Amino acid sequence: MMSYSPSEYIFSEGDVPTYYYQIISGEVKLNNYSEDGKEFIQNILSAGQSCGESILFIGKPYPMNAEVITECRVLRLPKPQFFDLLNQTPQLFLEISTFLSQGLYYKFIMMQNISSQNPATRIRGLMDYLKSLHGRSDAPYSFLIPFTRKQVASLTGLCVETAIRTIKGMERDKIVKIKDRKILY
Amino acid sequence: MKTISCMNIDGSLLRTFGGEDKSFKKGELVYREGDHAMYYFQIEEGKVKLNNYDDGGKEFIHNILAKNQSFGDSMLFLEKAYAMNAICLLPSEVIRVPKDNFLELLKEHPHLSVSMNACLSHRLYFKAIMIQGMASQSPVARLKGLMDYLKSYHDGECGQAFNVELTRQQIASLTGLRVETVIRALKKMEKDNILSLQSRKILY
Repeated sequence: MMSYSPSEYIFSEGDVPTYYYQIISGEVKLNNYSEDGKEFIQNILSAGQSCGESILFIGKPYPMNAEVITECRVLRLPKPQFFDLLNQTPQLFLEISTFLSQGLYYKFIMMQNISSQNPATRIRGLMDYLKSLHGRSDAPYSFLIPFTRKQVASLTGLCVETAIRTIKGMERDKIVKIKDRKILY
Repeated sequence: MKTISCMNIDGSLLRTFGGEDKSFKKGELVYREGDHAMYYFQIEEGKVKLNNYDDGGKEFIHNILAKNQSFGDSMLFLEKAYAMNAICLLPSEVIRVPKDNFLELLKEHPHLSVSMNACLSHRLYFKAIMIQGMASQSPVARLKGLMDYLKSYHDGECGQAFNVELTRQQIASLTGLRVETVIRALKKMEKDNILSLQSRKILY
C-alpha cells in the first residue's frame, strides 16, 4: 500500500512498468504535457479503478504520466505476481478485457470529438459520454460534471479560456445549467 | 508471437466453437452502427472498412482491415451498440463466431485470453498516442499519431513500409485537418524522412 500527495507522480512517461496499481482512495489523472507545457488529460481515475494496467501487457514504456490530484492511497502489486494472480484466476481475464474495451470505447468517442474544430461539440461529446457512463437518465441538467473547467479543457484539447467561454455559451443555449460554479448537464 | 492490435485465431479452432464461414459482396455491410454486437469476426479473404458518418454525411474511416485480422471484438465485452459500420471493400470471406461461444473459447484457451488482453492493450496504447497527437495543434503530430495507430494493426517486418490505405481526404476528416494542410504536412514528413510518397501512395 502506497500513499501519494497531490501533484506527486505514481509513474512518469517513459518509465518501464513494473507494478500493477489499483486506487483505493483519491483521484489520479493520466496526462501528457506537450513541448510548450500544455496539459492533455487522457483520463481521470478514482477509487476502485486500476491505473495504467494495459501497459503491463505490451512491454513498452508508459506513454503518459499518472499524476495525483487528491491525496491517494494506492495498492501496488509487482508485475510477476500480478500475472501469477491472473493465471490462477482466469475469470479476471474477462474482467480486464471488459475494462480495456471500455477504455477503447471512450478513446473512440473522444477521438471523434477532438477531430471537430467546434469547441461546443468537443465539450458536449465529453459530457454525453460521462453522463452515459454514470448511467444517468437523459433528463436535462440531471448530471453534475465532476470536473473543473481546467480539467474539461485539458480533456478536450482546448485552452481554459475557450472552455470557459464555450460553457457560458452552452448555458445561454440552455444546454447546461450553472449553479455555484458547478456545471449541470 | 508478436502482439499486434488485432487477433488472428486459427480458423479450424474458431469452427470448432461454432464459427461459420460467411461470404459478403463488395459494398455489403457486416454490421451497422447501432446494431448489437453478437459475433466475433475474422477475415479469411477480402477487405473490410470500419466507418461512420457525421450529421452532415461526411464519412470517417476508422480502419481498413484484411486477411487474418479480427474486427468488432472489443464490443463483445461491452453491453453497447456498435459505434460504427463494417463494410466490405472487396468480396470477402469472414468467419463469425457467436459471442457466447467466443467467450467460452477464451475461457477454455487461457493463452488466447492473454493474447486478447494484449491486443486490446496494444490498441489502447496506440489510441492514447493518437489522441494525444490529435489534441496537438501540430498537423505532423496528428498525422503521425494516426499512422502509428493504423500501423499497429499490422505485423510487418521491421523496416518494411506500411501502406496507409487512406486518401488525403479521409486522413483530413479523421484528424480534423483541411485537405490542403494534410497534403502540405505529408510533403514535410517526406522531406524529414518520416515517410515516403510513391505516386499517390503513402508508405510509413
